[in-house]
Amino acid sequence: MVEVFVEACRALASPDIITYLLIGSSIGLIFGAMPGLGGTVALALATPFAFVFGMEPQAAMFLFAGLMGSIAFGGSIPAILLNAPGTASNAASAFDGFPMTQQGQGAKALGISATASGLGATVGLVVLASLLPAVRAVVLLIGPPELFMIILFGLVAVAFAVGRDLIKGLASAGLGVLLSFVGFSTVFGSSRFTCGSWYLWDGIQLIPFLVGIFAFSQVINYMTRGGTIARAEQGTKMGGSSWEGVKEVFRHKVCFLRSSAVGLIIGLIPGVGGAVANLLSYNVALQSSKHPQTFGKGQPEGLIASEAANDAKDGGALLPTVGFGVPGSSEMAVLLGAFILFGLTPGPLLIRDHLDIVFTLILGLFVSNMFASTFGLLMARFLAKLTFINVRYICPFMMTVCFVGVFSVRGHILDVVTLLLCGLLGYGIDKFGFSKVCLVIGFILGVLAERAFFQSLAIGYGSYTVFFTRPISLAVFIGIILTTVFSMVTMRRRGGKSERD
Amino acid sequence: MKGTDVETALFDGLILGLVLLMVLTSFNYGLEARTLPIVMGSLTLMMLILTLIKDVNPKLQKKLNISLFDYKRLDSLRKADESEKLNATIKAKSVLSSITWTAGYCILILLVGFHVAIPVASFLILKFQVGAGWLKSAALAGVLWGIILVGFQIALGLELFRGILFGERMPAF
Repeated sequence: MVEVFVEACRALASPDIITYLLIGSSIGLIFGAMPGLGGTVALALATPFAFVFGMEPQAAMFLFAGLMGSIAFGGSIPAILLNAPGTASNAASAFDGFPMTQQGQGAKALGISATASGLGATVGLVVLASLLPAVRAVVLLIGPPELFMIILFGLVAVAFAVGRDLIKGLASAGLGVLLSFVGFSTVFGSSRFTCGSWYLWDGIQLIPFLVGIFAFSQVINYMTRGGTIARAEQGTKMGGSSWEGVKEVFRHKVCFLRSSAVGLIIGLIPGVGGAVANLLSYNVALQSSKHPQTFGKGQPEGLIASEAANDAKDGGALLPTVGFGVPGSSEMAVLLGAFILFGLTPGPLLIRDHLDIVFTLILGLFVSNMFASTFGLLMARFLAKLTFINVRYICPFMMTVCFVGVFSVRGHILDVVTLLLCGLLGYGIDKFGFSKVCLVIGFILGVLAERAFFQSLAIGYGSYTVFFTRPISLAVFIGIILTTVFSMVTMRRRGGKSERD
Repeated sequence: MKGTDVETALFDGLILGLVLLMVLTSFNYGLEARTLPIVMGSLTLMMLILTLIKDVNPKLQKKLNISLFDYKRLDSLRKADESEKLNATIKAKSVLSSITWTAGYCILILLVGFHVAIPVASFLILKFQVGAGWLKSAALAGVLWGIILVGFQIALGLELFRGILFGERMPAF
C-alpha cells in the first residue's frame, strides 16, 4: 500500500498532471462560486470531455479531484461576501460569514474559510487513508450476497437521508432502478423495455443520463428563472486581515475538530452530502457554544463549523464510494459514472485492483484543497463578481457544452435526444419535490444489484437463505432493519414533538 | 386545487403512468427477467400512489411529508434565499418557453448539424430569450462556435454531426 501511495505521489510530479489538477481546481472554484452549478454539474460536464480528450484514467482522476476539492471553498466566497451561497453546502457559511463582511472583516472571514476548508479536508482524507487498510481487508470477504445487501443498504439509506420527503425519495430511487433495467441484460440474455428499438438495446446511456439529470436540467432552470444571483451590487470590500482569520481557526481547535468529525460521519452516510453536513455542524457548534447568542452576528466559530464539516465530508463520502461502490453523495454518484466510462468497475474490487486510482483521488483532493484555499483567497473578488452575471447568458454556453460533450463520447446523435429528455426529467424531478440524487443512485446501482442478486441465487443453488447464512451479508441485513427502525422512531418522535409545539 | 398543485399532480401521474407501463410490460418477460422489475416497480407504484394522494389532498400532506432530518429547524437557521423567492413566482409560460428553446436547439442540431445549429441557436437564444443586443448576441455566438470548431473539429479531429438536411444519415432507432 505504501508503494502505491509513493507511486501516486510520483505521478503528481508530472507537469501534465499538475496542469490537470490546476485546471480542475480553477474550474471547480468558478463552478462553486456560481449558485446552481456546483460539483455535481462540473463533474457531469467534465466526464465526457476527459474521455473524449483521451486522458488516462489516473490523469482524469486528478482532474476530477481538482474539481471536487475546490468546489466547497468556491461556494464559500459569494456566501461570505454577498450572502449568496454558491452551493447548498455553503449555506451555513453565510450565517456568520456575511455579518463579518458587513463589519468590515471580509478578508478575515475568507481567511477563516480557507484555513478551515483546507484543514477540514485534510482531516477527512487522513482518516480515509487510515481506514483503507481495514476496508481493504473487509472487501476481500465480500461476495455477491454481501454486495447485494450493501447495495440495498445504500438505496435504503439514501432514500431516508436525502430530501425533505421520504416517500418521494423512495419513489425516485425506485424509478432510477427501473430505468437501469432498460436494454439487453447479460444476466438473462434478453432485452427489456426496449420497445423494439436498436438504440435502447444498449440501455439508457450513462453519460447523457447524468449530464441531462444534473447539468441540462439546471440550464432549463436558469432559462426559466433568469435574473442574477446577487440582487444588488453590494461591493466586494474585504476589510480585516486573512492572517487573522488563519489564527482564528487555531484558537478554536475544539470547534474545528468536532466539526470535522461531524462532516466525516455525515459524509459516510450514502446520499446525504454537504447540504446537511454544514447545517448540522453549525447547529452542533451553536448548541455547544458558551455564547450562543453571538451566532449569526459574525461569530468565527459558526464559520469554522460550517467550513470544516463541508470539506471533511469529502473524505467520508469517498469511503463507501470506493470501498463498496455505493455513492456517498451526488458528486460521488457522478464519479462512479466516470469510473465506468474509464473502464474501472466500481465496487469492492476497486480497492483491490485499482488502489492507485484511490490514492490518486485522495492526493488530488488534498492538493486541490490547498490550491483552492490559497488561490481562492487571491481571486475572491473576481469569483464573487460571477454572481452578478445574468444566468440566462450562461444557458447557450452550457447547452452547447452539454450537447457537444455528450455526442463526442460515442458519436451517436440520438444521445443528444436522450440528454434533452433526461434534462426535462431532471427539471421535473427537482421542481416537484422528488430527489435527483436518489434517482441517479438507483440508476447506477440497479443493474449491479440485479446481477449480484442472481449470482447469489446461483451460489445458493436457488435458495434465498444464502443472504442470511453468510455473516457479513446477515450483518448488513440487520443494519438495514436497524436503520429503517431508527429512522421511523426518529421521525415518529419528531412528529409527536412538533404536534405538541 | 391550486395551480401548482395541479402541475404537481400531473407530474406525479406521468411518472406513475410510466412505472405502471413498465410493470405491466414486465409480465411478458421470462420468470427471472421479470422478478426485480415487478418487485421494484410495485414498491415504486405504492410510493407514487401515496405521493399522488398526498399532493391532491393538502390535509394529508402534513402527515405524509416525513423526513429523517429536522429540516424545519435547519430552515429556521437559514435566511430565505433570494432564488427561492424567485422560484415561487415562476409561471408556466416561462417554463414552456424554456422547454421550447431547448427542444428547438436539439431539433436544429438534428436537422442542420452542430456547425450551423450552434451559432444560429446561440444567437437566437441570446437575442430573443436573454434580450441581449444584436452585436453582443452575434459576438458571443461567434465566440462559442469558434471554441467548438477549434477545440473539437480542429484540435481533436472529431467529426461533428452534419445534419439530416446536409446528407448525414440518422442512425437506426
